Amino acid sequence: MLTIADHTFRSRLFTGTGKYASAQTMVASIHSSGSELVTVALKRVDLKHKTDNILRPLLDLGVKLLPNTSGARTAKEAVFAAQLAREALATNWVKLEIHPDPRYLMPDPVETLAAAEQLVALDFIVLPYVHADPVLCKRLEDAGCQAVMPLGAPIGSNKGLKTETFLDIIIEQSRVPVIVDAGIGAPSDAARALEMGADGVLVNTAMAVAADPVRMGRAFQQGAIAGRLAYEAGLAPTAGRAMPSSPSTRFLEILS
Amino acid sequence: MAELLSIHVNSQMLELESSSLVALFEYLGQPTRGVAVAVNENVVHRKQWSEFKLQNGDQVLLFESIAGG
Repeated sequence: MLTIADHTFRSRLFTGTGKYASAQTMVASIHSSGSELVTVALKRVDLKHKTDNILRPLLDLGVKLLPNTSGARTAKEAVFAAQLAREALATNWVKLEIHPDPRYLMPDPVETLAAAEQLVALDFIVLPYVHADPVLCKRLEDAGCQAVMPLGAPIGSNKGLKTETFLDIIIEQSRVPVIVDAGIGAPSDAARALEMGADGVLVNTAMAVAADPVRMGRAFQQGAIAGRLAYEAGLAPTAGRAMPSSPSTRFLEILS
Repeated sequence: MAELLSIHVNSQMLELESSSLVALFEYLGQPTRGVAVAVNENVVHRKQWSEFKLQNGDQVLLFESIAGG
């Protein structure tokens, strides 16, 4: 069971709602993944064009909604977005996400830390999305964030745990849950993150743009379960040399 | 006849008869689940929607929840 703030989750797989071909596929994929926490974004209403209502089907799934501040370029905009999200969705949980660079979507550490401090003071449960910077993660924890969300690789890149070395350090040092978010491209990446001791993973693109998002949701569910189970079972150590599985026998020497 | 209010809503100019925020939502046919509103860059708490009075020249921003990662 994963506990963040006052909420306990049975699934360590969090999911996003972006990039799905349709709302129906999105709901079916998330349902098959067993995810209990799902991110959503906010945007200005286009008075001329109605958007698909994704909330009703998500609420029917019984998942917890985590609004993000995607689109914010500064701490001020992120705080504004979080306050809007709190009113829109009646939740004080927020995924703090500030990435002004459109090419790599790298999270701005300075704005993120500033926003986190303000949001904690405004009684938000803050889950900040950041680079896998152990120092920054500690600063965010000290500022009162209830989890940290270091990236594995750039958003949507599906490159896996490029930051593995630093995720290790963060996992070792963090006293709040570590949720690896962004770049997880395959169930094996999710499994690896959890085997390393991460408390959870957040996956969006890898499920949404898979050839079969519903089956991929199930694959990710199983990957996450396997990874956590392996972590709890205690992974065998790696060795620099071969370690034979059976003792060396001398019987073959009779033939020479 | 009461004076019309000129309000900007998401960069659209509207002329409204009523100063009520709730009336504005009805006028726009805007469902309110998952929606948030800011007037002149101040977020209006949901609990205050029924009492809130718009004023001439107000800049209203309406936001809704959409898919995202």
